[in-house]
Amino acid sequence: MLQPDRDEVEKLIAERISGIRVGASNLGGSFRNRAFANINPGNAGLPTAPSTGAEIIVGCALVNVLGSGIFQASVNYTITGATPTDTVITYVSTQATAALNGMTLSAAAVKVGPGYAGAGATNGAYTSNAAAGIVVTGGSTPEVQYGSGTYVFGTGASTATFGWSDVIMSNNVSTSETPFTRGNQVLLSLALNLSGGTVVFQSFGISLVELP
Amino acid sequence: MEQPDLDEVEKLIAQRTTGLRAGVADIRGSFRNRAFANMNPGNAGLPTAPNTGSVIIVGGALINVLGSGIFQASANFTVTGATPTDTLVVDVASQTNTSLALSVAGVKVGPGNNSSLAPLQNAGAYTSNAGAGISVTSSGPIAIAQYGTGTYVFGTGASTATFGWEGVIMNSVLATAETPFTRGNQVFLYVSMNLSGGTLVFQSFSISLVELP
Repeated sequence: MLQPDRDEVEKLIAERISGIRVGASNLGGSFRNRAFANINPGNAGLPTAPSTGAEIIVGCALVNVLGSGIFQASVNYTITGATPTDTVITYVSTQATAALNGMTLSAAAVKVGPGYAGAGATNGAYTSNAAAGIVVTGGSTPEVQYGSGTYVFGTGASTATFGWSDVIMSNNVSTSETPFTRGNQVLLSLALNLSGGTVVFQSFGISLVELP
Repeated sequence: MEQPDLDEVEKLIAQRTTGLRAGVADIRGSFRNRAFANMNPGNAGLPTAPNTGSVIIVGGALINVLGSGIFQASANFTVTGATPTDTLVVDVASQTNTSLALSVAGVKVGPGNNSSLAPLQNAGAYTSNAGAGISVTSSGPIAIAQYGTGTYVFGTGASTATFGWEGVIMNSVLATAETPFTRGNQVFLYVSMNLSGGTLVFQSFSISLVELP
């Protein structure tokens, strides 16, 4: 009867679970790493629409990069109350830091949804009711992941509904996967530039989910 | 030479794989748990647009909660034929209970991952051609609006509305901590509409609900 010694047994175990360990290690980073929120009419967390004619961050999602560095992302909103010839420009952008939990949001940012985080981390979904919106400290230069150009409201049209979802990485030019760096923090933000008037958010949704 | 017996080998394997087993058990519930459909012009499953001036469910996705209770979700449609000043209100909402029954108006148009346990075997994507739309006959807690458009007013020359939404949903839109749908329950994600009148036609409709790990 073959009687393997302990070294042989260890070797056999290592062979059987080697691939699993690698896979689980990668998956472990991305596993349940997400931040999101869905806010509707009447919810306290709805952002206030800016009317200053400047680009302002009204909401965002903040997570650490724990695994692949590639994220499924979405941003949605509906605003009402515009009048003809009012304009809105929409940007969906990302910023990153060189450290976990390295980004700071101004006090205007109110947490409205969960985020996967270690102790003391600030990950989650945020909106703002401040005229100046959310100011980000410690983040890189914003990378525009999606931009609407200038949307002009037509006669009789008072509502703009925006829906966007995609897979994002740290570069929107590269033809190969360019992940956000593991160990960094990533912010996905919605910034608006409204020409003026009194526009009201009816709903707002944002999500950022790290893919395996 | 140390020669471990079978018990010792089993113990070594258990030590090396314990964490992995726990992780796999968590993933297993969510694995491939999804319902979805994509319908375009000419597809029999396209819903009929209501014009009764009341809120009507035109389509939805029904699945069982098997794992995390957190879902990636989407809903999209295009309607044509509106005239100026027509109004449209769109809500994407969820209901949950130990089991959910849909009225006969709900026609299955897309797949869903079913549980082997009755009565949780009606998972899938559904649409309706009935004037009253789909009703949920065993609904549980009050529906949660996951997304709402408010009242959309068609402007001069505008006859088409395209709606696209995707998000991550849980059993609350207020909590700042993850609040999963309860494992073992069913969840119905649906699109409801309130059209002021006229004759609108769906050009396309799609919905998806995928349980995250």
